Amino acid sequence: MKKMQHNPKNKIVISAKNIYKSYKTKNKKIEILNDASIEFETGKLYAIMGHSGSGKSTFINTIGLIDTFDNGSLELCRKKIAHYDDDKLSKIRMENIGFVFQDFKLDNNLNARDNVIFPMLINKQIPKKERKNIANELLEKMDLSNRADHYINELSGGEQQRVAIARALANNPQIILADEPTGNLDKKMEESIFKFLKQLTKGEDGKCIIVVSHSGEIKKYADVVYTIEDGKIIGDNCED
Amino acid sequence: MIIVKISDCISFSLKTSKRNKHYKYTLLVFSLCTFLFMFGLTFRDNFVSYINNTITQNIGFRSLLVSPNLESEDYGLSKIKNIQHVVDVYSSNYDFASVLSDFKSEKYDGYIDLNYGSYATLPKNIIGESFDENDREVAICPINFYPSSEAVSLGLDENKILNGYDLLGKKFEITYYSYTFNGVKAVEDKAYTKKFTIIGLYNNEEVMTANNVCYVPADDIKEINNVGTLDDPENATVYGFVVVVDSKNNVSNVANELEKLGFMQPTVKNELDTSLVNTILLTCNILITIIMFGIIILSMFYIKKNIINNTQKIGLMMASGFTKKDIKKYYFIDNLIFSLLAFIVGFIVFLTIYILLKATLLHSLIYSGFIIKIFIIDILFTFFVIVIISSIISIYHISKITNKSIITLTGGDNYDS
Ligand SMILES: Nc1ncnc2c1ncn2[C@@H]1O[C@H](COP(=O)(O)OP(=O)(O)OP(=O)(O)O)[C@@H](O)[C@H]1O
Ligand SMILES: [Mg+2]
Repeated sequence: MKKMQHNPKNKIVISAKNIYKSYKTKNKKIEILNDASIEFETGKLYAIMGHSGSGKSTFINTIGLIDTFDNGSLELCRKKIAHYDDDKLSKIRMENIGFVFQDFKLDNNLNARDNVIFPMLINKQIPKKERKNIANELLEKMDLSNRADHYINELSGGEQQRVAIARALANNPQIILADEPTGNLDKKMEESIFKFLKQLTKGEDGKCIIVVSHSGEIKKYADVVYTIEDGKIIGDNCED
Repeated sequence: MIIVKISDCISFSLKTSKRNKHYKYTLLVFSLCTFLFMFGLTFRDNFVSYINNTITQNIGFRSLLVSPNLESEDYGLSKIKNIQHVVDVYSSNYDFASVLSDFKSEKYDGYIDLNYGSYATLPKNIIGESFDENDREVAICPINFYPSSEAVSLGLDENKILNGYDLLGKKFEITYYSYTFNGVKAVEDKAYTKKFTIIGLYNNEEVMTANNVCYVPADDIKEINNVGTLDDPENATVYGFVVVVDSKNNVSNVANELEKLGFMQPTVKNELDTSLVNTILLTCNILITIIMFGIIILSMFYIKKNIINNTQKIGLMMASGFTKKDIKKYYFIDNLIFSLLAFIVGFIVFLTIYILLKATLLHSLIYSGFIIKIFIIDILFTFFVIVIISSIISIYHISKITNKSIITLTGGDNYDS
């Protein structure tokens, strides 16, 4: 395992220790995560790989607080997640996590800007007047300034995913969780999405980006690559 | 914890609906339901109110016809007068007379009815002057006067209606005939004329009489009808009495009383065909109920579908940090806006058609005493069914939103919305 250099400007935002997670079906118990421990920090792009059914989505849902775990400890932005009620978990998600999905999950009846504004409706920190400006800035960051007024079906797949990334950034979270963000896109678009995601790790406010992907392409962009195997998370050598 | 603001819910709900074709079609269906429901209620209530007005306002529904009691000196007249609730009794010989008037022209056939006018039978609100039993040759005619036998038909030609105010103080002449029996049938013998001065006006809609009915003193009718009969006027047979009762509710009491006093089979002068009325009302009520249940079932389906179709969006909202209460609030408002829009659109369509119908087809009915109006209670009831009931249904479905929708978000399943 390659030693990771620690950049003092980077903060650890996710710290998972000895996580156990299983699904119970009618007659058997499927162990998905088995004593998984891992840390993620800002300013880095992480790739999570593994064969189908290995538990990548389960893992990302668990650290994204949209699924529960059986045992272990999880810290998000220095907050220990334990027995929190739904409202508190919602607040943590709103403040700290942005999700990007394979099939974008955009609202076809709203234009690009309104899709980005939508998560801001629950952010008291953002005044109503500011929403539009913030959305415009985020779309500009994703190189979509001239697409803000377009409806979703008027955009290409790559553009749609960039709108979804802008939406994930709406409430300025430190963590972006992307489960197969390029699964529905062709190779060219995939590259551009990875570039945009990589871009987000740069600068003062560099994010912690965690990308689940089947594609070997991600290795070119990732700072760290993990593989999930038999319920464990294994660090890979990462040749840039 | 609820963070999302009502104004934001409204604005995003409207934004999403603007481009949603499915939403628009469903809205159309619900608007149509609102329209039909409102239409059914309004038809029924106007019908009921017409029937009630007819019964309460037209004196014929509280007038009894009885045969004279031949054993009594005065045919029983004084006995009848003493019955409680009886306000007037008169011989049916001078109940009314149908005569030809000099209003006859190209427009009208000139036939008018002269009704027996007394303190008990005259309409309450008379413009100008009234008369009492000592007066002769005076008449109280309709404000909207239509001196033709056509007046009894529904749907009068509005342009032909005479303005009563122009006639006030003027005289009109009537012609009536005596008859002889030529061995086969009665034939007109001599023509007589008589002049009446119009001293007062009444609104025939209020008392549900036709537009060609004038009230005149009893003696004038008596004179006309005596000339018209073949019998010797001095010994004219009393064919019967008209007994005017103070209200519709007391009619059966008075009828019982009359029977006790030995008058045979008193009958109410005007009776409604209750079986027809009941059939119409039953049909209306069945249709209204069907529409109502239709609306409720449709709302149940629509709202359920709206929630299910939006499972992905609900999951996304949860992932973005909306609390369950935020989401419930959002979808409650979303459904409320939908039903409010359906109500408003449906009501506007109803109102437009109502106004159009009233101005065209139904316009002439107004002169036949058919007062058409919209009942506030119907609006409220429609609002209740369309908006309140569907809100209750939406609360039920929304309460079933759980964390499950969030789990369906990831995993790489391709989802087409
Ligand atoms: N709700 C559930 N109940 C029972 N089993 C589940 C549930 N969700 C996932 N699983 C099982 O857990 C295992 C891991 O699923 P997961 O979706 O995390 O895999 P993945 O690595 O994301 O796969 P893919 O690459 O195909 O997306 C699979 O065997 C799956 O069948
Ligand atoms: Mg997966």
